[in-house]
Amino acid sequence: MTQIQMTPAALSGNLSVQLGDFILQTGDFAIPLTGVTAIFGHSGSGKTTFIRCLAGFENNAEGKVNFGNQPWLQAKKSLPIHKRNIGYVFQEASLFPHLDVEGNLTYGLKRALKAGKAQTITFEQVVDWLGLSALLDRDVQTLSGGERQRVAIARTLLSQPAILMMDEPMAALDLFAKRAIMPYLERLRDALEIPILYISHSPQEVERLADRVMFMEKGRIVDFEPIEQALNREGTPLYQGEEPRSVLKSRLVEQLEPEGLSRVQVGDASLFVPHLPQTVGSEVRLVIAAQQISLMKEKPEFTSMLNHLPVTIESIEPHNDYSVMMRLRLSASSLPLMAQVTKRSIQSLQLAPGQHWVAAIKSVAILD
Amino acid sequence: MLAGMDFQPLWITFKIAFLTTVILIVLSTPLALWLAKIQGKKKAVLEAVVALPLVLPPTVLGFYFLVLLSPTGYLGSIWASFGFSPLTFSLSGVVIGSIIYSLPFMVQPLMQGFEQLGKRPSEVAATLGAGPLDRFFSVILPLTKRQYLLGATLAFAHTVGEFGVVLMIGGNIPGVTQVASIAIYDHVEQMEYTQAHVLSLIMLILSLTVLTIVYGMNRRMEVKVG
Repeated sequence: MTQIQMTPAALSGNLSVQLGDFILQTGDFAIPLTGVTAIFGHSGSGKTTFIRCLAGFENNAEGKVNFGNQPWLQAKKSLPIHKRNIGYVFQEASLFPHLDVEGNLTYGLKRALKAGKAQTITFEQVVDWLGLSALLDRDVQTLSGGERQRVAIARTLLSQPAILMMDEPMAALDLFAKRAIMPYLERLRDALEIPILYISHSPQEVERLADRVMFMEKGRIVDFEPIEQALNREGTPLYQGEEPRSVLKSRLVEQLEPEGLSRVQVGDASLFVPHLPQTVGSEVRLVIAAQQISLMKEKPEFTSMLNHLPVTIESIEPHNDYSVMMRLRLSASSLPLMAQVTKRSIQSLQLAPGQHWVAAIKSVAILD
Repeated sequence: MLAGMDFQPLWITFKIAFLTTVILIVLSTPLALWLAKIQGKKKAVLEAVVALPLVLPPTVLGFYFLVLLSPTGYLGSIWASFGFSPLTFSLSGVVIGSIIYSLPFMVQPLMQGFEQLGKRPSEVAATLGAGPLDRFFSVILPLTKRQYLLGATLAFAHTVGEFGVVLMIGGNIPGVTQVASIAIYDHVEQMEYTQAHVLSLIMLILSLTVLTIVYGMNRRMEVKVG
């Protein structure tokens, strides 16, 4: 007997809590249980309170929370945390000081197996994903900040969670450790089959990791949208005070060694970028500054510019004294793209929404 | 010289102290966990109540116990209605008195330990699938064992040294409630200085030995837990 689900599984509900002067009032939310959802906001916006309420740490939280069909919070009845099957990574690694690295790693695993959970994530896998083989014999006290956080993430994954919640896992790390841990997180994003909730106030982390972004402000959820949309609109809270730019998810499809280039695919269009170290098939995020895009009526035949994509003009919005911001959509995949064009060009080319043009991209950067 | 010497008071002293300490460890744990969690006025009042035995003269405590526990007292009459023998002038009565008398010495270090530890280790353990009892034995207890050792030592030592409470509730019944401190007092009153010397010296040596062992253990835990 198969049951048809009307709506895709989500972590959904409506939460409110008062902690001192701070009030969290989320309104209705539904977070799809796939990929990475970033919760973005400045400090004091309520991201951590929200995720702590979701996890069940705040006893005063009111409202309701459902994880798929499983009620977590309903009419003040709260499912105990240890029965929610969540993985939670705190800002500080919070390793158990009385246990060694291996003891920490197996703490959740033992209990998961005892509770009869199916083991989908193995010890060998997390050791490989998070590069822990050299750390297993080490004493917890001798680990660096980045190493501690990697052990904490591995410990969480080994408890076989149905969802991974991460509360600014890099916030307590120095810049060097942040750079070092990011590739591990990207690897997890690609390898894990469970949904990830990732709290951050760093746009760089969000644009590299997230599939969708929930924006929070003053204890409220103000926006919830796919990453492409969140990154590629003017005035996005992600880039306040920065030059407008678009971020596109792409896949590395071919290495052109003799030319020193790599070919990546965005939707079904190809772009050429300087040679990438990643392996063919991995996800790469491209950054295209709005200023780096020119529009042409037709695909140019003789040009040194390698990258041009057919686009449709969606809208034209004022930007500054001499230029406007154009929202474009790639014709093939309808992914959004932003272009900064002078008012003079708008006039002389008679640019208007709905027209089809070709966007020539002068330079493409890779997020790293 | 030691012939005819009665060592029973020593045995009774340590028996009372041991029982009191074991019961206190069990009782103080939930109390201290709760006190570490609550805040505000309620906490201040409860902390004051727990600390009261530190301030009150032991005879005051002992007097209230005597009134409450005697077969005609509030608690004593309920106790008697179940057909139990009276608590006053019995070993059980003395142990109950000692538990209250030494309560702050066990509760205060534990409460401080739990407060220092914070709720994070317990939260981490919960997300890793550990239930409340599991969390206590696998995380909280190992991380606060120094406070347990300290509290147990203080409670034990304090009970060994008590005098007023035992005298009031237990009376001075040789072989039942006569503890070392009271026996020494009796010997001195009867000018039996030799016997007083022997008991006092044994108390001194035993206490020093116990404390030395405990502080040694404490040092080892320090190295391990950091």
